[in-house]
Amino acid sequence: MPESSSRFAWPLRRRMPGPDGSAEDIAVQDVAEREAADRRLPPPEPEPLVDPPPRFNLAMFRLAALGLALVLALALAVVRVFVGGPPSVAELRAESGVDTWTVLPIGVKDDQPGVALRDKNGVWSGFDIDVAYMVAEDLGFRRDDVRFYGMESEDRLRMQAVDLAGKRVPVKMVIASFSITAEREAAPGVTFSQPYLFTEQSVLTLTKKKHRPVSTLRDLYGDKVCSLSTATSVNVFTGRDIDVISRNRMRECIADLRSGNVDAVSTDAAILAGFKNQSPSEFQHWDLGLEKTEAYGVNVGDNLALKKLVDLTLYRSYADPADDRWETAYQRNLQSETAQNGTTPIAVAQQPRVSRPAIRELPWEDVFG
Amino acid sequence: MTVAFVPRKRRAQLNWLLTVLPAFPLVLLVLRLWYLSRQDLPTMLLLVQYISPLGMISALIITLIWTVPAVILVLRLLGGILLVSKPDDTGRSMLAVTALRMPDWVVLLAAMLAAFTWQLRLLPTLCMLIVAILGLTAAQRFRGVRPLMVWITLGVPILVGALVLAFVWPGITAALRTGEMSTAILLGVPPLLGPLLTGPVPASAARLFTHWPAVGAALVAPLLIGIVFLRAPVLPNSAVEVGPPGGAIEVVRGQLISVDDTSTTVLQSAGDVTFIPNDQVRSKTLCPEPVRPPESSVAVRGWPLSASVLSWIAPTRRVTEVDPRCLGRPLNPR
Repeated sequence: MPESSSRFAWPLRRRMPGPDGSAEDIAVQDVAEREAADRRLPPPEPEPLVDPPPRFNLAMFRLAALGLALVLALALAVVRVFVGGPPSVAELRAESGVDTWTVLPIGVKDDQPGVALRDKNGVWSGFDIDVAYMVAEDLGFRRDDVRFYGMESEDRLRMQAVDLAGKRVPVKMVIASFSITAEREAAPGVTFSQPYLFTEQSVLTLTKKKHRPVSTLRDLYGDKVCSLSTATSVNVFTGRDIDVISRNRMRECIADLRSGNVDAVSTDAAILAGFKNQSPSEFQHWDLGLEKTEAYGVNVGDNLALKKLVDLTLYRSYADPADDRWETAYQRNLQSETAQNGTTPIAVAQQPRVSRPAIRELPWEDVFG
Repeated sequence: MTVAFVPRKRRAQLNWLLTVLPAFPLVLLVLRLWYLSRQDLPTMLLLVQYISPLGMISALIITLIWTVPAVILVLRLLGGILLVSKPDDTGRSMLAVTALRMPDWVVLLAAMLAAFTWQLRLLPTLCMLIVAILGLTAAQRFRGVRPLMVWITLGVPILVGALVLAFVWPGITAALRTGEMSTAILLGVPPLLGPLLTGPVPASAARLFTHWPAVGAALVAPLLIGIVFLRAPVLPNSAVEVGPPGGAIEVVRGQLISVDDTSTTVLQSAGDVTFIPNDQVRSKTLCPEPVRPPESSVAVRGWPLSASVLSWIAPTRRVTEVDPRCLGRPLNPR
């Protein structure tokens, strides 16, 4: 509108008494009047387009607050997801070094049928082997990438195994019928996962020796009993009239028993049940009636991040109804020995309860199965 | 005269729009049936007879719900830009009028719906849309305190863009590594564009950059929506074992239309309708929809790009084993 008003000002006309004169005079006077009127009314200045002064506007503050809320919500979400709290699986993998390992060396026993056995073809089998495969699978290793090394009982704390050529090899974890005890956990460089099997102590004797039935420790008084060195099963014999001979490997104990050097072999029922199952007529397997539960755990050395990853695998196997790897391993290796072992217990036929490890689970992830 | 004429003309256009809008889904549904019947009219009439409209509308909603917020937010953004760039032109553009009259709660609801239903790869774009609409609203309505304007039009978009970039950064690097250029652009560019969209564009170019893209999108959108919906399943995929008692079993695969007291009607994949006498039906099973491979293999911090928030909140059923009947083989071969 200002533009049009400057170009087209309405002429101001006053009706005055008409002059006496010719039409020409009147016209001249009109022009003069008009010019005078134009002079009196200069074209108005265009109104300057100035912003109105800033004024307090509540709605605007509300909008700013909405923006602030948006930024804060996003920031909080990002912080909540990535800062603080327990580590995520990816962080644990990086921290434990799993991502840099090309193979996974695991220390196991190699002479205990049903638990961990390397047969003459070089095939590994047993409950510990299946548990090791289960852990390795969750860590992202194919079966081909898992290296099993047989180890003696005393080396389980130090995580030193021996390869087939006799060379000592450090392993990343030990899954070798290794009972969790307070003294072992107190030793330097030993960290146990949560337990993966409960078993108890029992006794194996030769059938042809016709040993008197064993149901308590008293039935072994006067006997020579072979057990594994550093094994928890040695402790129950101390201070009793029982001659304990310690060996480093189970097969040495069994050889002693067969040759008559010892009268009995005593260690975990899960181990002895395998020998009984292998040659049912040769051995007799006795329940020793001890209350103490042997809880097998995975020793991961001082790698605490790896412990959490192993616990995660055990937890998933425990908590996820669809994950039946533990149950399958138990049925294949231990449940299958019950027929030959009769009423002598082998192990608890249920996976030990695993508490949920403190691992971050992002809302869109499904870490715990 | 002209002053009175323009609103009346607009109202007339609006009436037409209101007529066409409900008709569009209806046309889609009919088209879907026609497509399903392989252009065979008797088959289509049979389908019309048996298919429940509710079922088809469910399929329509599940398939197309994400497009609703997309339309609303894009309209509001383009209209907002036009409004602040060329305020005099408001009356001439339907886009600007729509944006001006759109209630704020509609925008808010659309943003929330989008946050739940859009795939992860579209979420950076959603953040861009939201901050741009916020800034445009401020520029359009308030000529207020300057620090506040700077905060709304610059501070919020830059901060939100930085946060989004921080979140999707692993995804961008992964996409670049695997050579998925489009994914990298979709994740990385919108956070940078956010701060640029919160103010006016030159008045001379405003119409070109807002009105005409909107018109183009309005023309293309029905086509795209139609194509998306034509692919959506509306009948359950099933397999039926057929055979006389004690005789040989044959498996009929297809889409189950109906079961009445005499026969089971199945639409086979070639478009043939088979009526199976009920006493010959030995067993039935539901077959999983063939899963289309995800368009991108990239995941951002463990979140697959083609998964929406809704999909990780809602429980899923993982199909691990394929029923042999779905492959056309009897369940218990003899």
